[in-house]
Amino acid sequence: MSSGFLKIAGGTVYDPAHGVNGERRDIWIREGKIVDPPSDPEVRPERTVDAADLVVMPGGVDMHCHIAGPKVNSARKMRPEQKRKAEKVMRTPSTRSGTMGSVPSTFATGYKYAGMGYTTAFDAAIPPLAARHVHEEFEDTPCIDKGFFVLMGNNHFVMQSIQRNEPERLRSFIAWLLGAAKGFTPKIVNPGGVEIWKQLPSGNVHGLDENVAHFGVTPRQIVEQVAHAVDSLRLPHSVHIHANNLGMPGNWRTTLETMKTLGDSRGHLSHIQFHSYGGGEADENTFNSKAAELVEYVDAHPNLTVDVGQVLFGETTTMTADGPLGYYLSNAFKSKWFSSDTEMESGCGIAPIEYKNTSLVHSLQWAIGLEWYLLAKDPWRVVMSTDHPNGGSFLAYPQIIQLLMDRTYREEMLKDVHPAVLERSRLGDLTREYSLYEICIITRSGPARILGLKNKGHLGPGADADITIYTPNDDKTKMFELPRMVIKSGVVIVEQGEIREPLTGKLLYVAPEYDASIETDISEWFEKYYSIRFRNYPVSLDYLHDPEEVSCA
Amino acid sequence: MSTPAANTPPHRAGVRGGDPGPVDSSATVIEDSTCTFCGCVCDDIDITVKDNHITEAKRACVLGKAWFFNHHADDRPSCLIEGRPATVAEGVERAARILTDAKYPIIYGLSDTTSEAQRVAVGIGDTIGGTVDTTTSVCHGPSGMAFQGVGEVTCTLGEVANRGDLIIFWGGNPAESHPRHFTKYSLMPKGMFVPNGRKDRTAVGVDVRKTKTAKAMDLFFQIKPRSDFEALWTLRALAKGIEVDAQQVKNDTGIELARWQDLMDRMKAAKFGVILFGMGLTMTRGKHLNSEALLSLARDMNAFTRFVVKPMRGHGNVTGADNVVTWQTGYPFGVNMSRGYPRFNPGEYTSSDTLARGEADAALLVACDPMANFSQPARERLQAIPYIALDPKDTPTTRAATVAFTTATYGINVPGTVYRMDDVPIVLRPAFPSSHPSDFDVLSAIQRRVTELKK
Amino acid sequence: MLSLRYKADTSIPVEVEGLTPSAVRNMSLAEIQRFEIFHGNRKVPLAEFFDVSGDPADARFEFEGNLAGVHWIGAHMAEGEIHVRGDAGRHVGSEMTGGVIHVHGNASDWVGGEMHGGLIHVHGNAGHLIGSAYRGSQTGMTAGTILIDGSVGNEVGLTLRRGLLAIGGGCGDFVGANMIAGTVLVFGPCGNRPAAGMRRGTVGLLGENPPALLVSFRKSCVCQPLFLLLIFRHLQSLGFAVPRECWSANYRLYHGDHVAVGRGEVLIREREAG
Repeated sequence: MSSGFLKIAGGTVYDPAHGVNGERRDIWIREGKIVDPPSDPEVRPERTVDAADLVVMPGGVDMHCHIAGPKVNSARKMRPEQKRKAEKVMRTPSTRSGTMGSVPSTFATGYKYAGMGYTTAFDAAIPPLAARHVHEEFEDTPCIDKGFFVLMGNNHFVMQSIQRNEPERLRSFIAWLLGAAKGFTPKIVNPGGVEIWKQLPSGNVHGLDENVAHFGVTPRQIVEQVAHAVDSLRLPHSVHIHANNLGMPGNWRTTLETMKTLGDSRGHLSHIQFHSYGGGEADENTFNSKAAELVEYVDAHPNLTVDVGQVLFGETTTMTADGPLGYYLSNAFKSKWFSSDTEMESGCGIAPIEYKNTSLVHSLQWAIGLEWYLLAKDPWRVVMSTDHPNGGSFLAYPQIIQLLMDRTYREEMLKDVHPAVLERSRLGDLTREYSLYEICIITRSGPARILGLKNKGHLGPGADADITIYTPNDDKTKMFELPRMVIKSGVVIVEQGEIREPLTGKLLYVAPEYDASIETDISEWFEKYYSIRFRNYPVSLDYLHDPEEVSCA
Repeated sequence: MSTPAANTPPHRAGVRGGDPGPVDSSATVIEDSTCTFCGCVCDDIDITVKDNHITEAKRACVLGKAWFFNHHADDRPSCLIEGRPATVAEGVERAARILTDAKYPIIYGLSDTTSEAQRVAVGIGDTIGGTVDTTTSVCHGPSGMAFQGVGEVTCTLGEVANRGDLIIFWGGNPAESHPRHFTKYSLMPKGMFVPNGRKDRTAVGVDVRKTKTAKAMDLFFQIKPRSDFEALWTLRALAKGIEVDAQQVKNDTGIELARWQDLMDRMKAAKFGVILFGMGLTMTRGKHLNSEALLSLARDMNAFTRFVVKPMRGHGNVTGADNVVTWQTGYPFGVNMSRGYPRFNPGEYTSSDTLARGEADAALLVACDPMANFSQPARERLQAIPYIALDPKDTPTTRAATVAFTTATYGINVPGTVYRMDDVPIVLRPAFPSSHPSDFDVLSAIQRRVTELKK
Repeated sequence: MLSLRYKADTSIPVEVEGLTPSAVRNMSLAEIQRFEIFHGNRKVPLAEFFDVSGDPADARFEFEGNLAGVHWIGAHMAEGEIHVRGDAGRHVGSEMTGGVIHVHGNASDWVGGEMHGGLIHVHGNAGHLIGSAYRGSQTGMTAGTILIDGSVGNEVGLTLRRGLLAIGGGCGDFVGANMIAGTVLVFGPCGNRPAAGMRRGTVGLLGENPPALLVSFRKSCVCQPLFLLLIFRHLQSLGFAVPRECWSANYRLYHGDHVAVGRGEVLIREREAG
């Protein structure tokens, strides 16, 4: 009689959520979950994976990437030249072919994440009008569990509710909208700025207290009110914020103000590297790092979490819901430019970019990302990301790990970047090296906790059996690039780089309660301004593949 | 052992959007139903269904009404092999053999079906090492190519309705091809920033002949045939303040420089300019470079004011076809997978070319009619090779097919997802069931079989 | 010399990408005969479609037959010499970095696509997109020389970055479109919209009845540019025929395309008086 148990025997286990730091342990799995060992010692596992001397960690969690939906798909369409030259993803009897470059096709995205030991990924910015598109793409993105954040920072109903000083209305709307899209949390991108972009040429906001014309709100109010609403709804993840003034010299003040605006509300600031710049107004020559100042604030405020948004040198594609930013970048780099404004909700900008180590600005961006990791005291609140693909591909995570764990490697790379990095940042002085335990935190345990995913990022009983097994190697890039084995929901999906079982993965969403009477209001608003019928807007549960609701506290 | 997800067709197509109701002789009204005849994809049609007939389609335009009213349950065989009735299973078997025997099979069409079915079709193309192309390649493919060159500045249609105050229709005749476009999206709506609707807007038409659309315009530019590129280039030059020779402009475009200057002044003075363009640009001499000139003009204009473009997409779900092929392969159309990975090259892997040059040796045609539309050499090749056709209708293409499946009509009998011309995904609310299988059903069966045969 | 005589009769594309003089230089004849090429979606050994004989050591290939349906001949080539005694298919010399290719017949589209060095000489006609960028590329051909004795189609030298293209016959529309730099000379008639979007570089329209340029080009002067004569001499040394009238003609110089960067030049041969 089959016991249904899978045992991972004798691995060197890292489970920071339970304080396990490289201890030799067994892990038992049954029906897709990690379980206690069977009480009956006669019970044998169906399969035993001999993990002696191998490193065992929970599966990786990428809490901020751009992998699905109309913006990502437009970027794919726009870059055939990059795909033509990139690695070819060949079809096999059990896997689909695909293309790479900075914006991989969907099947390739799933295979590559899994191949690197990642088992969960969240798309960071989706206009709810396109939610259905994302769910379709997710169904074609195998091997990983997925979810997405819903753009709200330039949503007209949100801004109106704030202007009318009706927090209850705002709260209900946010809850309704999350349920309608089957999304995970509100995402705020350049609050107010994208609306101004829609109204004026090169339009944008430049400060938290600027008025958003026609709506009579300020970015500060949007941040504050949405953060309150999220906390009062007790959503598993906090409000997720792409602050105003991304990329601008001197923007660190905006970032600091944004953090202060949050007060005691939870808040996650995404790709914080892009928001950590000192210097004069749009003056490249004074560009410098203010990472240390911001790290100090974040360290002192446990309600705040960040993901870094590391820049790597090379060609990639910027894609953002921050419409005016896309325009700015395409003009700066004289590249092709895609922009699309989504009615009532958001915008988007896409422009190819090449980060060069000869460039002062790019070198500083690279350095500032590393500064964040190396200066932060609490690894539980600083998450690894490249804001894929904005700073670089998610495939660069192993290289980032090596940069953090291996000071010599870091110093070698430092020799090849623009020399101003040494004067304008502290990177040259930082000697810290991350341990495997800390890497485990910033790539899985921390993001899972920040996302409020109780069953992910750890290896205790009840966790989803998402496990990655690595062969130790002094070359950390190699170690993390090619796990020995990846287990997803208790199924061995990857072995020695080969996809064995490309299962579909779950869709993680929230369904906070709200006062249904608001739907009358919302449907009237739809009637007046939307180009799609209110009834056709919400995504029903039966639309989703393998949905799993994550409860609100 | 579980079926690998790669070859598992999406499971939802059977249940999404609400299954059609039971056969019932009393009338049912289905509100907010979706019409897929043109790229407008109106989702506000209230249809009345009685005895498996749609008897009313409130708010539908003339094309939409024709779409809804002309569907009847019929008892044609669901499958014909070489013209003789066969079971669907037999048809699937024969189809799978044709496709796996072929060395250069093509899959073409795909625009008049659900995204769920499109996804399966691309999967078949991958498994058989074929070439997947959609009707985009004979329609706005050139715009897709232009987009790859310079990018695009665009928006969803609600933005046009809420903000657009200068609307330019270039090389298209929406009054006849997209009859509700003016009312729903581009000219009439009382939008947030255009509260007086039509009165707050200036409508401009640019075309080689005066169509019904021209009559609805405030300004009309009847340009010389095949001079769209010169006209757009003149506007680009004027936008940048470059002096141009008035005589040459008149010779090239047939329109006086002063009129172009006036148009450019209006464009710069607009708050939110919109250019909606059609086949007049993409299918005349210059093609993708015509589209590129227009996309470049829109980009140039953003230095002065907000300006967007929108290609006026035709068939209901051609936009969906672009999206599906792109997310699954990385490229939007004309995708070859002969060598085990996707390759893209319009003119090389597009179906009108692979057929006309005699390269395709088998075909799977879904919801398209190349036997009626393609060039002579392409049609001759198609005649000479074994091919499978899926279509709700009886067409020249289905009649000459080796295996022909009569499939249920999407949106009428079959639920699923479609993408409007501005990439907004919309669900279908089918009206009544059909005895025929859906495209999704047939394609899924073919996919399962070709996967087995290719092992 | 390696002799490859085409013996197939198929309309399904045959792709020989990867079959370059460098790739097979040290292989035995038997290994070369087993070299994998593609026939549609099937991998086949080279010998199934070609009678292969000779010796690859001198990095020289002689293809023989009607290879109009054989694609990627000489693609990615770095050294050596390829002769095609017959027609050739698409992507001849695509992305090559060195070496010489002669097609003693016609070639199809994408001759020298995104080429990075070397020489291609097509002694017949060729198709569209000669010496051009592939779709979406912001930079096309970066070095090398392409000579077409006959006529070509549209978009010759699209987004050309550097290099020399000479067309003995006529060309279609949009020659040199979006050009970044480099030189394209057309000795026969030319289609419409030449040099549209040109940034820098030189387009010479040296045939009879050149088309009008777009309104964004500015007439400059009439001249006899010395560099042109040097190029003619260079072309002649490569075995490319330069018509007699071109040597002594005057040329009208235009600057443009002012809608783009506008630092390019278009030279149009002045008609002789009388």
